[in-house]
Amino acid sequence: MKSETLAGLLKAFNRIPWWVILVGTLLDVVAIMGVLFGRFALEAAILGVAVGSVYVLGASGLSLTYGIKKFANFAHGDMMTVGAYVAFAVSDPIEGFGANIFLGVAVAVLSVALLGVFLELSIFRRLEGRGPVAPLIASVGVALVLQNVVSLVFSSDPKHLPVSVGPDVSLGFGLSLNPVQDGLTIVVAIVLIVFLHVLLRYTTLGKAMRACADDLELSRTSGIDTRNVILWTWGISGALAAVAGVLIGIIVNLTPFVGFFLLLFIFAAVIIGGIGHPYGAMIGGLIVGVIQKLSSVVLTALQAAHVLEGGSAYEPAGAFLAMIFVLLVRPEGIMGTHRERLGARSIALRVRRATAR
Amino acid sequence: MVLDYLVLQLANYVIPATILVILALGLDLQWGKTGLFNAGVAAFFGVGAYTFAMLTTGFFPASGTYPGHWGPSVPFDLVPATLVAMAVAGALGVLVAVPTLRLRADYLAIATLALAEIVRLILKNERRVTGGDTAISLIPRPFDAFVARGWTSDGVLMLVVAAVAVVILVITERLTALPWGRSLKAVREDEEAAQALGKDTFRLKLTSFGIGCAIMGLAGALYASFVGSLVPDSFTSRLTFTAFVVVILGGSGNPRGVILGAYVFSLLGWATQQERGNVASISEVLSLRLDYVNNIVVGILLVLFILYRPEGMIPEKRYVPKKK
Repeated sequence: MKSETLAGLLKAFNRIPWWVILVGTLLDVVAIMGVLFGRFALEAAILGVAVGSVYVLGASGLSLTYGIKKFANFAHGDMMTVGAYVAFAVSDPIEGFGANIFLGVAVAVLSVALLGVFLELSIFRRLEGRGPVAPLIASVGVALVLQNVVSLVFSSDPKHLPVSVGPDVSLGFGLSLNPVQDGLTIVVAIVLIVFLHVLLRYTTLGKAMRACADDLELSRTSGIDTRNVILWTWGISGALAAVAGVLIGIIVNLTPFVGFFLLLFIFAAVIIGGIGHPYGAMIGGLIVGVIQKLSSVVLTALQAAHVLEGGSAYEPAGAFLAMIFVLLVRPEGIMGTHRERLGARSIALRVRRATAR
Repeated sequence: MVLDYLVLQLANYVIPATILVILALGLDLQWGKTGLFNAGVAAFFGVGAYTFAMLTTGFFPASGTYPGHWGPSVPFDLVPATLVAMAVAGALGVLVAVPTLRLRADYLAIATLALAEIVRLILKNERRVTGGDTAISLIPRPFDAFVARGWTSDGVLMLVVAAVAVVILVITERLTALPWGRSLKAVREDEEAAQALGKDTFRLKLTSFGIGCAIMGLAGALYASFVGSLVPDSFTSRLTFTAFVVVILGGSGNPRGVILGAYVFSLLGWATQQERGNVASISEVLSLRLDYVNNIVVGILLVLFILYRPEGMIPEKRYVPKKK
């Protein structure tokens, strides 16, 4: 009797969507940090959400190609860099053509999407059936070429996108938010996530993409034009990368290595979310962004306590540790296929199985 | 004075190239023989170099211009310092490999890439421990007591490095000729089949990864001794790419290929250096551009080799069992 009520209770818990639990946990962490460190933690959390939404865009794009092509694309970060620099070249009044920034973004989206299609046609299609590591190495080569071509054309001096950032807006409680750097980033990310969701759920292309990610051979035999779908996936992935690149260009200065540096965070987001699960990658991006910025608060405190000399310079380490933790505890990621292994759910399932006997 | 000029020039090419051979032999054990993608070569190389440098120079107190660095109060001799550097690099490799080796192949790549970044950040920021961006300098060379710095010292170091490379080459060859080494290749070709034959593939991968990292640490120690002063920025992912290009261009799984790859690749670096030396007046911008073009060539070569000649310049010999 007692175990039945327990099972019922856990079953009710089971009905809560997984992402609500995760976002709730994240909010809890932010709240606890807020109590411990006060205003700094909350500011860090806002910044984390803004940076996280860039990771969300990068990670969901990477996750799309990862899901279908089954290899880690090390050139994804540099596709972001290329996007940002194309926007810069089109819209900068001094070094570029001085066009409207929106035109610049449009050109960037289009050209990086085409770059993705080109890479698939010229390199990655030929490496099909050679396992996950051969295309990975090829993508490392592509990354090297892209970042050095950008360095060659634009030099390695930091650049600024011609976007006026404007003053911060106060939110009360001593908190402030920059409407462009934080607000715009988050809004753009939300809009694009909704777009991606609609695409994946309701359009024929999106359904075909999910089918291909599930089982490429089966999709081919059921009459899906998989080559076409893969090309579209590269295009969409590239377009998302371009937008992410432009957004990061608004938050920080552009250098030719900005994307390669971000790649690590994006991989962390993809792994936390579960490889090939775009929805998981979105949550993963948010988690990585917030943890990164929150860990910077803790690290600064440690620096003040003379434990570490580096302080917030170590903030990438926070995100990586989160990634390693997920790898240890739940290697298939929070959205991975072995759902039974998600903490309380597995207990609920075990209890249910035990009571069913 | 033709001799000293020749030795200096030769050493400038041979020593970095031979260190690259040792580094690439370590990577070849992991990637060529076992099929493990280690994207953190720079981290293990750097850890080896810094451990060696800190142990051989000993504790350095902070001064106005130098933040100081940790070390033993009595500096180590070179050989024990090298062994410790190898041990530290190997242990670090095992530490990363344990959680990731059981997982998909690309997880190891991502975890090691993250490790490389963390190591670089620590080397850069913990100034009291590593000296930070102010270089650790005055790192000794072998036989410093007997030969003066200059071309003789370079020549001696060249011989030492070459000897070490030969030793490592013999050791890795002997190891891979053992049943252990053949099992590694089985893991590379088909891990499930190797498991089905009763091989503990996790342990095989772990030992191969650990030994490979220790060899990278050794290469780092030799590098520290060669350059004499270390800055954290020498250990970026560029170094990792270089090691991979060497192994893949030369021929994965084949030491002759790896050696050829390292010496051919070093020609590229040596040639750009010569170019820079000859055109003393070229501006800094142009010299940077030379680097970029260099990297672009490396990237394109990597892609072309993976596409058209994945076995490299000298392919690995097929293993033919002896008839009884």
